[in-house]
Amino acid sequence: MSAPVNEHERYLELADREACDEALTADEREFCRAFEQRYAPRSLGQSGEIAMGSQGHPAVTHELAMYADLSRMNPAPDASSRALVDRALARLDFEAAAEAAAEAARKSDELNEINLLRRSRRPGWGAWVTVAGFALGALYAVLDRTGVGLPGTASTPLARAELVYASGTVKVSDANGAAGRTLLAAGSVIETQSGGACVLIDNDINVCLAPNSRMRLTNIAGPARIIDLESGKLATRLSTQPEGMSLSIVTSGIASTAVGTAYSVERLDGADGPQAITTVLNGKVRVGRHDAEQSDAVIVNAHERAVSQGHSHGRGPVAKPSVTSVRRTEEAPSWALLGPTVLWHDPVAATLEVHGDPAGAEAWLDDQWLGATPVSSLIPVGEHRLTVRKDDRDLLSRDLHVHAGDAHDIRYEAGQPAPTAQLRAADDERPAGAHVRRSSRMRDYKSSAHASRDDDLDLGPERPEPESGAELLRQARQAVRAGQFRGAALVYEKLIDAHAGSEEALAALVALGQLRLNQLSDPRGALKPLDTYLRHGGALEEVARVARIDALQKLHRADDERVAIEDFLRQHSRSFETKRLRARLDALRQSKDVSPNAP
Amino acid sequence: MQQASSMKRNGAVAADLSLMRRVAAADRHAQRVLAHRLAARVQRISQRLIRNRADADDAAQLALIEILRSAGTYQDISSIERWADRITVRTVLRHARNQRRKPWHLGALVDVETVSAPPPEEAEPRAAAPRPVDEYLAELPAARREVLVMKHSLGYTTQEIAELTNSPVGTIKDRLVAARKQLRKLIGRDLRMRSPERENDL
Repeated sequence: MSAPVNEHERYLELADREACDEALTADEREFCRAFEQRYAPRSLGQSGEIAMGSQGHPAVTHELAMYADLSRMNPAPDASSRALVDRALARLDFEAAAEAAAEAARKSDELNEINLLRRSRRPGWGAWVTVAGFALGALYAVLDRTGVGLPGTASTPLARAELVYASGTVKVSDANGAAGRTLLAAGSVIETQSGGACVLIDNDINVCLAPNSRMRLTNIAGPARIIDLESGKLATRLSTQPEGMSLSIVTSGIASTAVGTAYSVERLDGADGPQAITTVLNGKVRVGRHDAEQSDAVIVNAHERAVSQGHSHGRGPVAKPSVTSVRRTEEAPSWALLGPTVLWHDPVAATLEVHGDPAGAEAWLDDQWLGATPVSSLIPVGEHRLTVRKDDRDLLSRDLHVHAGDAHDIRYEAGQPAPTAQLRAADDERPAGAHVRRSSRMRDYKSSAHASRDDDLDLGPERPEPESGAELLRQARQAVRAGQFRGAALVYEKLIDAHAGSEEALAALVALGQLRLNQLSDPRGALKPLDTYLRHGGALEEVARVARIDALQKLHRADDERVAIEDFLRQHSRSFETKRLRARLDALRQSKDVSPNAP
Repeated sequence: MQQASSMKRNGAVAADLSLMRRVAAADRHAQRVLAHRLAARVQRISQRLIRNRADADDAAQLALIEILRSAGTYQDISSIERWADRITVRTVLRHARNQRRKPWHLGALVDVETVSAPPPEEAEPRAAAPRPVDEYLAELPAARREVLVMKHSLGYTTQEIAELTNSPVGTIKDRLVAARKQLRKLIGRDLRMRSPERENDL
């Protein structure tokens, strides 16, 4: 039995009025209360379902349930909220440092202005300075020739570079490195495997290396400090350098130079030679050919990315870098690389080393992610709680009282074997939900460039219950945010395979295409999901077409690209991309350069 | 008994005030404690006000930074959560308006894929609505969604919503009634689409 229509309508009208803060009379309030009691009991059963009697009115009951859902505003913290905290605090730190630097620069400018004013009032002052300078220069020359040193006047400035963070196996010039124990000389080579590593130079330059990357500290003593990125990716964050000092990250002949900023540089080795990708998080970075006049260099601002075509040995002509803007979410992987730097933001006092069996467990200091074990890092003084976790099970949880100069060496052991089978390889790239079930359909979507590597993996047991499409999308999105692009691609593939034809799977086709094209440098692999999507059609057609055109351009399939652009311009004449693509079409028509690969 | 609970409440208020003073003084540990206390709530508000998940995450980050920066303005006339809600709402709405002004932004690419994503936590018992509340919110126009969330999630009066959104009170009431009616229609549609057996169960 449901409520009489007139009663129901009256109830809805009164409920709307009450929601609009209009005062109801006592009779009206009593009517609403009685109606709800009769037709919309709100009590929840044990399973969370609404316990409803035979008189229940489904629409009203569910509407009230909806408002009850809406009013729940205190969710439990989870990994994404913890990541939000880390990002916010890192950004706050950086902005504070930038403001301090700007203030210092402003004061310095004021001082310069005052000095200029003083000089203008006392014309003799400049002459005195010049004479004193000549005298000092002559004195230094004499002392230098006679071999007598002056305190603090070494010809090469001293620099202190130290390994301050190491997760997993980190090699320093082919020896095992650990944080707090490894001072680095010029020429040192740091190489990471499954984890990351950070180097602190002169207490104000942080350089953090991504997993599976390699860098060489070519010149750490300035004035032009140089770090060669030999493979992979690094992110750096430095305070404003003294006048004349700078830091350059050089990869495949491209130098990204800054005097005070935060940015990341990635080297991608593709068929056309290596590419240097510079993403500027804050400040400005000059990107151009190393060891050149820098006439073709460009200034890249915050939230922009420069892509430069380099050369294997850093020689030969280099095209001018192309600069595009990046979203803040795309910057997240670079900020994440710099995440550990908050540990030594305060004056550094102690060293922490965590290792044990099994390796690869998650280590947390308070709420700060330390890294996968074995891990070593500098940490601030004070009271901390160290937690080591693997497979959702705490292996160790201990309070640490950290004093200046301490060196904590913590070892843990697992009491019982891990409850679930784990991935054998590429663990760090595979998010939790990436247990991939194999099927012939999924292989259709799998990129040829990655198929052979994946076939070697033990992908773990099949899950008895398939995850929902929305859940898989969420996992893939999280993996993208964490910079785990290969893992994200696997989750998208799983989603497409498990929920073929669903809205989520269709969206995943486009996302997978973009991921392969932009992050995995696999334009050929990108074409397959994009073509599949376009055969089906949908709201993302415009986006899919643009990605397909970009993929064809990267594959040098000029004829196909031209046809695709013409098709796009017919279908989406008012698109934001029209101008760019029309220019590209003109260039293609002029060059008439048809690739031999074109079918 | 009443005295004990009053003392406890006063102690909590004093602790909150002390925490906020330390945050305002840029105490690193206090900033972290406050950020962890509010992050999940800020994230939820942002995700309910903005449909695009990537934009919602950006807005949540901006809001959390704004809260940490504004700690010096906190007074113990309301709870920290209530105080932070207002900052979050203002920041998130400002961010949403800025994003809407852009003719095209890359976030649109990921919008479709994340619209139907569930809220991050599943631990709370969810009332038996036909679909998750976020899915219903995603189907409402932005202006109606904002008013509905501010009213039913954050408990603001129409007057307060009008102040926060710089809109007349009458407009807010119209939007609120329209949002509730649209929600009702969506629920009714979902219930009609259920099988007759299921409906009999209800």
